[in-house]
Amino acid sequence: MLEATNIRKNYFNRAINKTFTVLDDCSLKLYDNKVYGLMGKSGCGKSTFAKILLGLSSFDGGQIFYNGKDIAQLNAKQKCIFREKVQFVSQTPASFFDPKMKLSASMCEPFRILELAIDNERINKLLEIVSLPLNVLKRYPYQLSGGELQRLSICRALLLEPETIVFDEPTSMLDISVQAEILHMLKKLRTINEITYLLISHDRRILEWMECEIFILTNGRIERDV
Amino acid sequence: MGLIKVGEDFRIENLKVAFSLKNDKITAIDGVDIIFPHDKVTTIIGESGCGKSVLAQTIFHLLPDYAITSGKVFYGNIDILNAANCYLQKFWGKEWGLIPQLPGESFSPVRKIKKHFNDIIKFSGQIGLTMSSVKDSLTLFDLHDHERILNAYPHELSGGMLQRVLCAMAVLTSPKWILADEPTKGLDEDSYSSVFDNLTKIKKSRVKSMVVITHDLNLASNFSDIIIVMFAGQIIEINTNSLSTPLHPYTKALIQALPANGFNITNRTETIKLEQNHGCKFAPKCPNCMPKCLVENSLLICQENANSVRCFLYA
Repeated sequence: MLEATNIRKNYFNRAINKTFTVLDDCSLKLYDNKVYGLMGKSGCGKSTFAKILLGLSSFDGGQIFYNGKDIAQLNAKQKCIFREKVQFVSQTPASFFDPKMKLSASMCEPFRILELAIDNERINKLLEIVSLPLNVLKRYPYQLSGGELQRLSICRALLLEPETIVFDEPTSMLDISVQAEILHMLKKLRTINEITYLLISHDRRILEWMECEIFILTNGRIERDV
Repeated sequence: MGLIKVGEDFRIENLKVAFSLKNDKITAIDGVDIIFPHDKVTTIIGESGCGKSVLAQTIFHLLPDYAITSGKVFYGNIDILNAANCYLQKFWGKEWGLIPQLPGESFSPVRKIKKHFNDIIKFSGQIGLTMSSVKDSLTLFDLHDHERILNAYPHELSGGMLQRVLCAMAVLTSPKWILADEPTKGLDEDSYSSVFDNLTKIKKSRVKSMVVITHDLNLASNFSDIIIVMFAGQIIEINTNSLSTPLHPYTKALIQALPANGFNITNRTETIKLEQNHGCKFAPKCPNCMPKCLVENSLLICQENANSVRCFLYA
């Protein structure tokens, strides 16, 4: 279970010389094997909240708990497990792959960073699940379309058998037909693996189609959609 | 506010564009013949990689030097593909305006918005352009806090605001044509309606002739006079009735994939092979595929109301 309690985050706006609070007392509990949706307008702090939840951004108040433990108190080994089990898929998949590395090398990175044995069989199996041919691994990121790269970033997120995946606008940069394919794929993945999804989107129709429990981030607070 | 100027038509004849790789060549545009008429909004739709951006970049002569082109592109009597860059300088930003996609990446991050506008004033050669015109242009797009916006760095403005600044920059010189590349990509509902309103304002008040590239079918059907559907480098449908009666199976599949239709996808399980790539490129995914489609590609077939479709179903 992943839980954010009373998260507060301030930003300093140089243009108006003022500090403003983007997240104010935000709490959210993600139980295992459920699908959650978080929606809100551009700039309301959805992505900031996602990064805080993943331990990728600092915050000014509150705590994040992973299976009951404050992630700020995790030791190096526990942090590795947290990184392994809580994965992130961004709206700009190109930023997830080193442009100078072939995709085969990029796909091995999660194993290498966490000092695990490279499991090529699992890579191949997941490529099949996300409907990508094996030869994509011989290419560089710029040689793939946005939809193919997004499939590959989902594939990479699944490599370490995560318990939770946070998707930040996973289809906002994709065209309609690719968006539909990715959403169908995400639904299919949940029938194969027990995974918790947190889908961040500004499109309610996506969250409803994915049968999410929807929360809304507005004025710095998270509220359950009624 | 500048007067609306009438531009010329863009006429494209058997255009082919390719990019060479180490041991291969990728064909981005595969034999396109079409006219982009002035005073009309022509929207190009299709999935990523179908060649819509390359087609638009070709007609405005914005392709990189390494692109391999053949065929003809005329703007009035000017042969665009064979014209020198120094000659075309007088069109860019003056007669042809551009609203690029990804507003966040279209500005220099180390220069304030004001500096970007100063460049336009400096290089446009239009004597009447002043900071006051810039402010008028910003106001047109509901950006009223002029001083804050002009003195901000790009990262200090939201995506929606940057998009509107780009629109203001594009219309500042009152060009005859505007190319808007994916103007609504990745925007939320509020920013979307703001950009849609902005484009409508441009169309009503400043520039009548536009080429819009998008994968947003709502924008295409509500904003365009002519919709061009592309697939794998070819035009497969020209639709003049806002997609209310789609013709090609691919266009129908795109409409089925809309959220309003439940994100339906084309499901074709059996694998079929095109004969030496001569067949219809959509055939492997087409629910209406016939044996003929695998070996032969249809021409664009004229239908009612100036619509055309590249499909044997209508032959």
